[in-house]
Amino acid sequence: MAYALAGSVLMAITGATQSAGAIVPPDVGSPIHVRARLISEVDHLRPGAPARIGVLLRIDPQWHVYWDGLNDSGAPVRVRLSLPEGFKAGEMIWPAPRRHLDRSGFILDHVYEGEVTLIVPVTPPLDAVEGHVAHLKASVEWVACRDACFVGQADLSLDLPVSVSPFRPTGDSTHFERALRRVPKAMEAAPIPIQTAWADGRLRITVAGASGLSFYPSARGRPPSHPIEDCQSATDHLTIRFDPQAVGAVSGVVEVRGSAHGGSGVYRMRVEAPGAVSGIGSGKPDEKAGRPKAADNAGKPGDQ
Amino acid sequence: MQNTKRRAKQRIALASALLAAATLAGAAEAGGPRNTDAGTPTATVGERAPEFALKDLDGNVHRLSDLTAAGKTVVLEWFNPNCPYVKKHHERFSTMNDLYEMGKDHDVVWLAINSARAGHPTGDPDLNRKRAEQWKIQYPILLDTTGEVGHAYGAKATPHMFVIDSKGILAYSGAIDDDDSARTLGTTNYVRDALTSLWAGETIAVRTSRAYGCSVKY
Repeated sequence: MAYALAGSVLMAITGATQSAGAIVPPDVGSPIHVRARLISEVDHLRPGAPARIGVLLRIDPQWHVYWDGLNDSGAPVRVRLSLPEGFKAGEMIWPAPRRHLDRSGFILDHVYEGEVTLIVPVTPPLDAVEGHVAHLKASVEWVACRDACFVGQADLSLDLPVSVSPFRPTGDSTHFERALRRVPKAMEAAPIPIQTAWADGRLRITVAGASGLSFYPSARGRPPSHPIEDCQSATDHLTIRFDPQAVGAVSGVVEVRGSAHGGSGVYRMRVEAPGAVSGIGSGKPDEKAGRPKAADNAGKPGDQ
Repeated sequence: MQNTKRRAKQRIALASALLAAATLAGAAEAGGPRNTDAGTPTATVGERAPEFALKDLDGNVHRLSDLTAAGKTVVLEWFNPNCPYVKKHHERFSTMNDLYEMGKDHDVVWLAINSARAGHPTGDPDLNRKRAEQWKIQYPILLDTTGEVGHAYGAKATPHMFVIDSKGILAYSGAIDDDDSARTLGTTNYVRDALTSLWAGETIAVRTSRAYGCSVKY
Protein backbone atom coordinates (compact mmCIF):
# COMPACT_ATOMS: atom_id res chain seq x y z
CA MET A 1 0.00 0.00 0.00
CA ALA A 2 1.33 3.38 -0.88
CA TYR A 3 0.71 6.24 1.49
CA ALA A 4 1.63 9.85 1.36
CA LEU A 5 4.18 11.31 3.70
CA ALA A 6 3.88 15.01 3.90
CA GLY A 7 6.34 16.98 1.89
CA SER A 8 9.14 14.53 1.66
CA VAL A 9 9.34 10.93 0.69
CA LEU A 10 6.30 9.07 -0.41
CA MET A 11 7.02 5.53 0.39
CA ALA A 12 5.50 2.20 -0.34
CA ILE A 13 6.50 -1.19 0.89
CA THR A 14 6.14 -3.96 -1.62
CA GLY A 15 7.00 -7.59 -1.58
CA ALA A 16 9.39 -7.38 -4.51
CA THR A 17 12.91 -8.28 -3.45
CA GLN A 18 14.29 -10.61 -6.03
CA SER A 19 15.73 -9.33 -9.21
CA ALA A 20 18.86 -9.66 -11.28
CA GLY A 21 21.79 -7.51 -10.33
CA ALA A 22 22.42 -4.72 -12.82
CA ILE A 23 23.78 -1.89 -10.69
CA VAL A 24 23.82 1.22 -12.84
CA PRO A 25 20.63 1.84 -14.79
CA PRO A 26 20.67 4.55 -17.44
CA ASP A 27 19.03 7.94 -16.99
CA VAL A 28 15.37 7.67 -17.80
CA GLY A 29 12.26 9.79 -17.81
CA SER A 30 11.06 12.74 -19.69
CA PRO A 31 13.92 13.82 -21.93
CA ILE A 32 12.81 17.42 -21.66
CA HIS A 33 15.40 19.47 -19.78
CA VAL A 34 15.88 17.03 -16.88
CA ARG A 35 17.35 13.53 -16.72
CA ALA A 36 16.70 11.43 -13.64
CA ARG A 37 18.44 8.42 -12.12
CA LEU A 38 18.15 6.51 -8.86
CA ILE A 39 21.65 6.17 -7.41
CA SER A 40 23.40 4.65 -4.41
CA GLU A 41 26.38 5.98 -2.49
CA VAL A 42 27.63 2.44 -1.72
CA ASP A 43 27.87 -0.72 -3.75
CA HIS A 44 25.51 -2.91 -1.70
CA LEU A 45 23.18 -2.90 1.28
CA ARG A 46 23.92 -4.44 4.67
CA PRO A 47 21.25 -5.91 6.94
CA GLY A 48 20.24 -3.35 9.57
CA ALA A 49 22.73 -0.72 8.34
CA PRO A 50 21.53 2.61 6.96
CA ALA A 51 22.84 3.53 3.50
CA ARG A 52 22.11 6.52 1.30
CA ILE A 53 20.32 6.31 -1.98
CA GLY A 54 19.38 9.36 -3.98
CA VAL A 55 17.35 10.72 -6.84
CA LEU A 56 19.83 12.44 -9.13
CA LEU A 57 18.33 15.09 -11.37
CA ARG A 58 20.53 16.57 -14.07
CA ILE A 59 19.07 19.79 -15.29
CA ASP A 60 19.81 21.59 -18.55
CA PRO A 61 21.68 24.90 -18.29
CA GLN A 62 19.37 27.84 -17.47
CA TRP A 63 16.56 25.53 -16.36
CA HIS A 64 15.59 24.79 -12.77
CA VAL A 65 13.46 22.52 -10.61
CA TYR A 66 11.91 23.48 -7.29
CA TRP A 67 12.95 23.14 -3.64
CA ASP A 68 10.49 22.05 -1.02
CA GLY A 69 10.31 25.46 0.68
CA LEU A 70 8.58 28.77 0.22
CA ASN A 71 8.10 29.50 -3.47
CA ASP A 72 5.90 31.92 -5.38
CA SER A 73 5.46 29.48 -8.24
CA GLY A 74 6.42 26.01 -9.39
CA ALA A 75 5.97 22.87 -7.33
CA PRO A 76 8.57 20.88 -5.39
CA VAL A 77 10.08 17.72 -6.81
CA ARG A 78 8.03 14.72 -5.68
CA VAL A 79 9.56 11.37 -4.91
CA ARG A 80 7.54 8.27 -4.20
CA LEU A 81 9.71 5.35 -3.11
CA SER A 82 8.83 1.69 -3.33
CA LEU A 83 11.07 -0.49 -1.20
CA PRO A 84 11.16 -4.22 -0.55
CA GLU A 85 9.24 -5.47 2.47
CA GLY A 86 10.93 -4.70 5.76
CA PHE A 87 13.13 -1.95 4.32
CA LYS A 88 12.82 1.42 6.03
CA ALA A 89 13.30 4.83 4.45
CA GLY A 90 14.21 7.92 6.43
CA GLU A 91 12.98 11.41 5.63
CA MET A 92 14.21 12.81 2.34
CA ILE A 93 17.14 15.22 2.67
CA TRP A 94 16.92 18.36 0.52
CA PRO A 95 20.12 20.26 -0.21
CA ALA A 96 19.89 24.03 0.21
CA PRO A 97 18.45 25.75 -2.86
CA ARG A 98 19.42 28.91 -4.72
CA ARG A 99 17.22 31.98 -4.94
CA HIS A 100 15.66 32.60 -8.31
CA LEU A 101 14.00 35.88 -9.21
CA ASP A 102 12.03 36.09 -12.44
CA ARG A 103 13.06 38.66 -15.03
CA SER A 104 10.50 41.15 -13.71
CA GLY A 105 11.86 40.90 -10.17
CA PHE A 106 8.38 40.09 -8.85
CA ILE A 107 8.41 36.30 -8.46
CA LEU A 108 10.80 34.65 -6.00
CA ASP A 109 11.44 30.93 -6.04
CA HIS A 110 14.00 28.63 -4.45
CA VAL A 111 15.38 26.21 -6.96
CA TYR A 112 18.05 23.78 -8.04
CA GLU A 113 20.11 24.32 -11.16
CA GLY A 114 22.65 22.08 -12.86
CA GLU A 115 22.27 18.98 -10.76
CA VAL A 116 20.70 17.98 -7.49
CA THR A 117 20.64 14.74 -5.54
CA LEU A 118 17.71 14.29 -3.16
CA ILE A 119 18.98 11.85 -0.57
CA VAL A 120 17.04 9.17 1.26
CA PRO A 121 18.57 6.98 3.97
CA VAL A 122 17.46 3.38 3.50
CA THR A 123 17.85 0.59 6.04
CA PRO A 124 17.31 -3.06 5.13
CA PRO A 125 15.82 -5.32 7.82
CA LEU A 126 18.20 -7.24 10.07
CA ASP A 127 17.03 -10.48 8.50
CA ALA A 128 17.71 -9.38 4.91
CA VAL A 129 19.33 -12.37 3.24
CA GLU A 130 22.92 -12.26 2.01
CA GLY A 131 23.04 -12.70 -1.74
CA HIS A 132 19.54 -11.37 -2.39
CA VAL A 133 19.15 -8.39 -4.66
CA ALA A 134 17.00 -5.56 -3.37
CA HIS A 135 14.88 -3.93 -6.04
CA LEU A 136 14.39 -0.25 -5.14
CA LYS A 137 11.99 1.94 -7.08
CA ALA A 138 11.20 5.63 -7.16
CA SER A 139 8.51 7.47 -9.05
CA VAL A 140 9.55 11.09 -9.53
CA GLU A 141 7.64 14.13 -10.75
CA TRP A 142 9.11 17.57 -11.27
CA VAL A 143 8.40 20.78 -13.06
CA ALA A 144 11.34 22.27 -14.94
CA CYS A 145 11.13 25.94 -15.87
CA ARG A 146 13.21 28.53 -17.58
CA ASP A 147 10.65 30.97 -18.84
CA ALA A 148 8.37 28.17 -19.97
CA CYS A 149 7.61 25.20 -17.73
CA PHE A 150 7.49 21.49 -18.50
CA VAL A 151 6.32 18.77 -16.19
CA GLY A 152 8.46 15.65 -16.20
CA GLN A 153 7.95 12.23 -14.70
CA ALA A 154 10.16 9.17 -14.38
CA ASP A 155 9.81 5.70 -12.89
CA LEU A 156 13.28 4.82 -11.68
CA SER A 157 14.73 1.64 -10.27
CA LEU A 158 17.96 0.40 -8.77
CA ASP A 159 19.07 -3.10 -7.86
CA LEU A 160 21.47 -3.50 -4.95
CA PRO A 161 22.77 -6.80 -3.62
CA VAL A 162 22.49 -7.54 0.10
CA SER A 163 25.81 -8.45 1.69
CA VAL A 164 27.57 -8.20 5.05
CA SER A 165 30.88 -7.20 3.46
CA PRO A 166 32.27 -3.67 3.98
CA PHE A 167 30.73 -0.85 1.95
CA ARG A 168 32.58 0.47 -1.08
CA PRO A 169 31.72 3.76 -2.75
CA THR A 170 30.08 3.59 -6.15
CA GLY A 171 30.98 5.77 -9.09
CA ASP A 172 27.99 7.89 -8.07
CA SER A 173 29.35 8.72 -4.63
CA THR A 174 30.63 12.05 -5.96
CA HIS A 175 27.02 13.12 -6.55
CA PHE A 176 26.37 12.49 -2.85
CA GLU A 177 29.48 14.41 -1.81
CA ARG A 178 28.36 17.35 -3.90
CA ALA A 179 24.84 17.25 -2.47
CA LEU A 180 25.97 16.75 1.13
CA ARG A 181 28.07 19.91 0.97
CA ARG A 182 24.77 21.78 0.59
CA VAL A 183 22.71 19.83 3.10
CA PRO A 184 21.93 22.22 5.96
CA LYS A 185 23.60 21.48 9.29
CA ALA A 186 22.29 22.29 12.75
CA MET A 187 22.59 25.98 13.56
CA GLU A 188 24.83 25.15 16.52
CA ALA A 189 27.38 23.69 14.11
CA ALA A 190 28.13 27.10 12.60
CA PRO A 191 31.75 28.07 13.37
CA ILE A 192 30.70 31.68 13.88
CA PRO A 193 27.44 31.83 15.88
CA ILE A 194 24.27 32.70 13.98
CA GLN A 195 22.64 35.26 16.23
CA THR A 196 18.94 36.02 16.07
CA ALA A 197 17.01 38.79 17.77
CA TRP A 198 13.52 40.27 17.45
CA ALA A 199 12.89 43.99 17.38
CA ASP A 200 9.67 45.73 16.32
CA GLY A 201 8.30 42.56 14.79
CA ARG A 202 11.41 42.11 12.68
CA LEU A 203 13.87 39.30 12.95
CA ARG A 204 17.50 40.25 12.75
CA ILE A 205 19.98 37.52 11.85
CA THR A 206 23.63 38.36 12.36
CA VAL A 207 26.79 36.39 11.62
CA ALA A 208 29.82 38.44 12.61
CA GLY A 209 32.24 38.89 9.73
CA ALA A 210 30.10 37.22 7.09
CA SER A 211 30.34 38.72 3.61
CA GLY A 212 26.74 37.80 2.80
CA LEU A 213 23.68 36.01 4.11
CA SER A 214 20.61 34.41 2.59
CA PHE A 215 17.52 33.04 4.26
CA TYR A 216 15.50 30.40 2.44
CA PRO A 217 12.16 30.17 4.24
CA SER A 218 10.54 26.80 4.79
CA ALA A 219 7.06 26.30 3.40
CA ARG A 220 5.59 25.76 6.86
CA GLY A 221 7.19 28.49 8.90
CA ARG A 222 6.04 32.08 9.35
CA PRO A 223 6.42 33.59 5.89
CA PRO A 224 8.46 36.78 5.53
CA SER A 225 6.33 39.61 4.15
CA HIS A 226 9.11 40.95 1.89
CA PRO A 227 11.29 37.96 1.01
CA ILE A 228 12.63 39.49 -2.20
CA GLU A 229 14.02 42.53 -0.39
CA ASP A 230 14.75 41.13 3.07
CA CYS A 231 16.08 37.59 2.69
CA GLN A 232 19.39 38.21 0.98
CA SER A 233 22.14 40.67 1.74
CA ALA A 234 25.81 41.32 1.02
CA THR A 235 26.41 42.28 4.65
CA ASP A 236 26.75 40.35 7.90
CA HIS A 237 23.07 40.65 8.77
CA LEU A 238 19.51 40.30 7.54
CA THR A 239 16.48 42.16 8.88
CA ILE A 240 13.33 40.26 7.98
CA ARG A 241 9.84 41.72 8.14
CA PHE A 242 6.63 39.77 8.74
CA ASP A 243 2.96 40.53 8.52
CA PRO A 244 1.69 41.46 11.98
CA GLN A 245 -0.99 38.76 11.71
CA ALA A 246 1.46 36.00 10.80
CA VAL A 247 1.93 33.30 13.40
CA GLY A 248 4.30 30.45 14.18
CA ALA A 249 8.03 30.00 14.36
CA VAL A 250 10.31 31.30 11.65
CA SER A 251 12.00 28.35 10.02
CA GLY A 252 14.18 27.73 7.05
CA VAL A 253 17.78 27.59 5.96
CA VAL A 254 20.44 30.26 6.49
CA GLU A 255 23.29 30.38 4.03
CA VAL A 256 26.41 32.12 5.29
CA ARG A 257 28.88 33.39 2.75
CA GLY A 258 32.25 33.34 4.30
CA SER A 259 34.51 35.92 5.70
CA ALA A 260 38.28 36.04 5.43
CA HIS A 261 38.23 33.49 8.27
CA GLY A 262 36.07 31.03 6.35
CA GLY A 263 32.71 30.07 7.77
CA SER A 264 30.67 29.51 4.62
CA GLY A 265 27.89 27.01 5.05
CA VAL A 266 24.19 26.27 5.16
CA TYR A 267 22.33 25.83 8.45
CA ARG A 268 18.83 24.94 9.60
CA MET A 269 17.23 27.78 11.50
CA ARG A 270 14.16 27.84 13.66
CA VAL A 271 13.32 30.88 15.74
CA GLU A 272 10.24 31.15 17.93
CA ALA A 273 8.26 34.34 17.80
CA PRO A 274 8.63 36.84 20.63
CA GLY A 275 6.33 35.89 23.46
CA ALA A 276 6.51 32.22 22.57
CA VAL A 277 7.78 29.76 25.15
CA SER A 278 11.42 30.03 24.18
CA GLY A 279 12.87 33.24 22.83
CA ILE A 280 15.41 31.80 20.48
CA GLY A 281 15.51 28.32 19.12
CA SER A 282 17.25 26.34 16.51
CA GLY A 283 17.31 22.89 15.09
CA LYS A 284 14.83 20.98 13.05
CA PRO A 285 12.93 22.69 10.30
CA ASP A 286 9.17 22.55 10.61
CA GLU A 287 7.39 19.31 10.04
CA LYS A 288 6.23 19.32 6.49
CA ALA A 289 2.69 18.29 7.26
CA GLY A 290 -0.09 18.34 4.77
CA ARG A 291 1.80 18.06 1.54
CA PRO A 292 -0.66 16.98 -1.09
CA LYS A 293 -0.77 13.36 -2.08
CA ALA A 294 1.40 12.05 -4.87
CA ALA A 295 0.49 10.86 -8.27
CA ASP A 296 1.23 7.44 -9.58
CA ASN A 297 -0.44 7.82 -12.91
CA ALA A 298 2.05 9.02 -15.45
CA GLY A 299 1.02 11.57 -17.99
CA LYS A 300 2.50 13.46 -20.84
CA PRO A 301 4.85 16.26 -19.96
CA GLY A 302 3.39 19.70 -20.36
CA ASP A 303 4.72 22.19 -22.75
CA GLN A 304 4.81 25.86 -23.01
CA MET B 1 -0.17 51.19 -41.07
CA GLN B 2 -3.86 51.38 -40.30
CA ASN B 3 -3.45 48.41 -38.00
CA THR B 4 -0.54 49.92 -36.15
CA LYS B 5 -2.48 53.11 -35.57
CA ARG B 6 -5.47 51.22 -34.28
CA ARG B 7 -3.29 49.21 -31.94
CA ALA B 8 -1.62 52.34 -30.64
CA LYS B 9 -5.06 53.82 -29.99
CA GLN B 10 -6.14 50.69 -28.15
CA ARG B 11 -3.03 50.86 -26.04
CA ILE B 12 -3.76 54.43 -25.09
CA ALA B 13 -7.34 53.53 -24.22
CA LEU B 14 -6.14 50.64 -22.09
CA ALA B 15 -3.53 52.77 -20.39
CA SER B 16 -6.13 55.40 -19.46
CA ALA B 17 -8.43 52.70 -18.16
CA LEU B 18 -5.62 51.35 -16.03
CA LEU B 19 -4.71 54.79 -14.79
CA ALA B 20 -8.32 55.34 -13.76
CA ALA B 21 -8.31 51.95 -12.12
CA ALA B 22 -5.13 52.70 -10.24
CA THR B 23 -6.52 56.01 -9.01
CA LEU B 24 -9.71 54.33 -7.87
CA ALA B 25 -7.80 51.58 -6.12
CA GLY B 26 -5.62 54.16 -4.42
CA ALA B 27 -8.64 56.07 -3.21
CA ALA B 28 -10.28 52.92 -1.93
CA GLU B 29 -7.21 51.93 0.00
CA ALA B 30 -6.39 55.28 1.55
CA GLY B 31 -6.59 55.38 5.31
CA GLY B 32 -5.52 51.86 6.12
CA PRO B 33 -2.01 51.23 7.36
CA ARG B 34 -0.23 49.35 4.64
CA ASN B 35 3.14 48.52 3.37
CA THR B 36 3.80 49.82 -0.11
CA ASP B 37 7.33 48.60 -0.71
CA ALA B 38 8.15 47.29 -4.15
CA GLY B 39 7.19 43.68 -4.51
CA THR B 40 4.36 43.86 -2.01
CA PRO B 41 1.04 43.12 -3.63
CA THR B 42 -1.67 45.58 -2.77
CA ALA B 43 -4.40 42.96 -2.69
CA THR B 44 -5.06 41.74 0.84
CA VAL B 45 -7.70 39.26 1.84
CA GLY B 46 -10.37 41.00 3.91
CA GLU B 47 -9.74 44.33 2.21
CA ARG B 48 -11.09 45.95 -0.94
CA ALA B 49 -9.92 44.16 -4.07
CA PRO B 50 -7.90 46.37 -6.45
CA GLU B 51 -10.03 47.90 -9.20
CA PHE B 52 -9.27 46.91 -12.77
CA ALA B 53 -10.58 47.46 -16.25
CA LEU B 54 -9.26 45.02 -18.83
CA LYS B 55 -10.25 44.04 -22.33
CA ASP B 56 -11.07 40.48 -23.24
CA LEU B 57 -10.11 38.76 -26.51
CA ASP B 58 -13.12 40.35 -28.24
CA GLY B 59 -12.27 43.85 -27.06
CA ASN B 60 -14.97 44.08 -24.38
CA VAL B 61 -13.93 45.91 -21.24
CA HIS B 62 -14.54 44.26 -17.89
CA ARG B 63 -14.43 46.59 -14.91
CA LEU B 64 -14.48 45.16 -11.41
CA SER B 65 -16.50 48.01 -9.90
CA ASP B 66 -19.22 47.56 -12.55
CA LEU B 67 -19.49 43.90 -11.62
CA THR B 68 -19.61 44.36 -7.86
CA ALA B 69 -22.02 47.30 -8.27
CA ALA B 70 -24.31 44.81 -10.01
CA GLY B 71 -24.03 42.51 -7.01
CA LYS B 72 -21.77 39.98 -8.66
CA THR B 73 -19.26 37.77 -6.93
CA VAL B 74 -16.10 37.70 -9.04
CA VAL B 75 -13.61 34.88 -9.49
CA LEU B 76 -10.26 35.67 -11.12
CA GLU B 77 -8.23 32.83 -12.61
CA TRP B 78 -4.69 33.73 -13.67
CA PHE B 79 -4.26 32.00 -16.99
CA ASN B 80 -1.57 30.72 -19.35
CA PRO B 81 -2.73 28.62 -22.30
CA ASN B 82 0.43 26.49 -22.33
CA CYS B 83 1.09 25.93 -18.64
CA PRO B 84 0.85 22.26 -17.56
CA TYR B 85 -0.88 23.25 -14.31
CA VAL B 86 -3.51 25.22 -16.21
CA LYS B 87 -3.89 22.21 -18.47
CA LYS B 88 -4.41 20.06 -15.39
CA HIS B 89 -7.58 21.98 -14.56
CA HIS B 90 -8.78 22.54 -18.14
CA GLU B 91 -7.68 19.45 -20.03
CA ARG B 92 -6.98 16.58 -17.64
CA PHE B 93 -9.85 17.68 -15.37
CA SER B 94 -12.60 20.22 -15.91
CA THR B 95 -12.13 21.89 -12.55
CA MET B 96 -12.58 25.45 -13.81
CA ASN B 97 -15.47 24.82 -16.16
CA ASP B 98 -17.33 22.80 -13.51
CA LEU B 99 -16.96 25.56 -10.93
CA TYR B 100 -17.92 28.20 -13.48
CA GLU B 101 -21.13 26.26 -14.19
CA MET B 102 -21.84 25.97 -10.49
CA GLY B 103 -21.29 29.69 -9.99
CA LYS B 104 -23.57 30.79 -12.82
CA ASP B 105 -26.63 30.11 -10.67
CA HIS B 106 -25.21 32.25 -7.86
CA ASP B 107 -24.38 35.49 -9.67
CA VAL B 108 -20.72 34.62 -10.02
CA VAL B 109 -18.72 36.24 -12.82
CA TRP B 110 -15.65 34.21 -13.73
CA LEU B 111 -12.76 35.95 -15.49
CA ALA B 112 -9.51 34.48 -16.70
CA ILE B 113 -6.62 36.95 -16.76
CA ASN B 114 -3.46 36.46 -18.81
CA SER B 115 -0.66 38.74 -17.64
CA ALA B 116 1.96 37.55 -20.14
CA ARG B 117 4.12 40.47 -21.25
CA ALA B 118 3.73 41.92 -24.71
CA GLY B 119 5.29 39.63 -27.29
CA HIS B 120 5.37 36.55 -25.07
CA PRO B 121 4.03 33.56 -27.02
CA THR B 122 1.51 32.64 -24.30
CA GLY B 123 -0.06 36.09 -24.53
CA ASP B 124 -0.89 35.66 -28.20
CA PRO B 125 -4.64 36.32 -28.59
CA ASP B 126 -5.00 33.62 -31.25
CA LEU B 127 -3.47 30.98 -29.02
CA ASN B 128 -5.72 32.05 -26.16
CA ARG B 129 -8.75 31.95 -28.46
CA LYS B 130 -7.76 28.50 -29.66
CA ARG B 131 -7.46 27.19 -26.10
CA ALA B 132 -10.76 28.76 -25.08
CA GLU B 133 -12.40 26.85 -27.91
CA GLN B 134 -10.49 23.63 -27.31
CA TRP B 135 -11.21 23.65 -23.57
CA LYS B 136 -14.80 24.93 -24.01
CA ILE B 137 -14.15 27.90 -21.76
CA GLN B 138 -17.39 29.87 -21.55
CA TYR B 139 -15.97 32.90 -19.75
CA PRO B 140 -13.81 35.77 -21.01
CA ILE B 141 -10.01 35.74 -21.06
CA LEU B 142 -8.68 39.23 -20.27
CA LEU B 143 -5.29 40.41 -21.44
CA ASP B 144 -3.12 42.25 -18.92
CA THR B 145 -0.10 42.82 -21.14
CA THR B 146 1.43 45.47 -18.87
CA GLY B 147 1.11 43.15 -15.86
CA GLU B 148 -0.32 45.98 -13.78
CA VAL B 149 -3.38 44.09 -12.67
CA GLY B 150 -1.32 40.98 -11.96
CA HIS B 151 1.04 43.03 -9.81
CA ALA B 152 -1.82 44.74 -8.01
CA TYR B 153 -3.23 41.35 -7.06
CA GLY B 154 0.12 39.74 -6.40
CA ALA B 155 -0.60 37.04 -8.96
CA LYS B 156 2.52 34.89 -9.15
CA ALA B 157 1.50 31.60 -10.69
CA THR B 158 -0.92 30.09 -13.13
CA PRO B 159 -3.46 29.20 -12.00
CA HIS B 160 -3.52 31.75 -9.14
CA MET B 161 -7.11 32.22 -7.94
CA PHE B 162 -8.90 35.16 -6.33
CA VAL B 163 -12.48 35.34 -5.07
CA ILE B 164 -14.02 38.79 -4.62
CA ASP B 165 -17.33 39.03 -2.78
CA SER B 166 -20.26 41.11 -4.03
CA LYS B 167 -19.16 44.03 -1.84
CA GLY B 168 -15.81 44.12 -3.62
CA ILE B 169 -13.85 42.64 -0.72
CA LEU B 170 -11.15 40.11 -1.49
CA ALA B 171 -12.38 36.90 0.12
CA TYR B 172 -9.84 34.32 -1.07
CA SER B 173 -6.38 34.30 -2.64
CA GLY B 174 -4.30 31.28 -3.53
CA ALA B 175 -4.29 27.88 -5.18
CA ILE B 176 -7.31 26.22 -6.75
CA ASP B 177 -6.77 23.05 -4.72
CA ASP B 178 -4.43 21.32 -2.31
CA ASP B 179 -2.52 19.13 -4.76
CA ASP B 180 0.47 20.69 -6.46
CA SER B 181 0.96 17.75 -8.81
CA ALA B 182 0.29 18.42 -12.49
CA ARG B 183 -1.49 15.06 -12.70
CA THR B 184 -3.78 14.59 -9.73
CA LEU B 185 -6.63 16.57 -8.20
CA GLY B 186 -6.57 17.72 -4.62
CA THR B 187 -9.05 16.58 -2.01
CA THR B 188 -9.92 20.18 -1.13
CA ASN B 189 -10.91 22.77 -3.73
CA TYR B 190 -10.33 26.08 -1.98
CA VAL B 191 -12.29 28.15 -4.50
CA ARG B 192 -15.35 25.91 -4.33
CA ASP B 193 -15.17 26.01 -0.53
CA ALA B 194 -14.82 29.80 -0.51
CA LEU B 195 -17.79 30.25 -2.87
CA THR B 196 -19.95 27.79 -0.96
CA SER B 197 -19.20 29.59 2.29
CA LEU B 198 -20.03 32.98 0.73
CA TRP B 199 -23.37 31.67 -0.53
CA ALA B 200 -24.19 30.21 2.88
CA GLY B 201 -23.18 33.43 4.63
CA GLU B 202 -20.54 31.51 6.54
CA THR B 203 -16.94 32.31 7.33
CA ILE B 204 -14.47 31.01 4.75
CA ALA B 205 -12.28 28.41 6.43
CA VAL B 206 -9.20 28.83 4.23
CA ARG B 207 -8.87 32.44 3.04
CA THR B 208 -5.32 32.22 1.71
CA SER B 209 -3.12 29.47 0.39
CA ARG B 210 0.01 29.29 -1.68
CA ALA B 211 -0.60 29.07 -5.39
CA TYR B 212 1.33 26.48 -7.38
CA GLY B 213 2.00 26.38 -11.11
CA CYS B 214 3.98 28.22 -13.75
CA SER B 215 5.32 31.65 -12.94
CA VAL B 216 3.29 34.44 -14.50
CA LYS B 217 5.21 35.63 -17.56
CA TYR B 218 5.63 39.28 -16.61
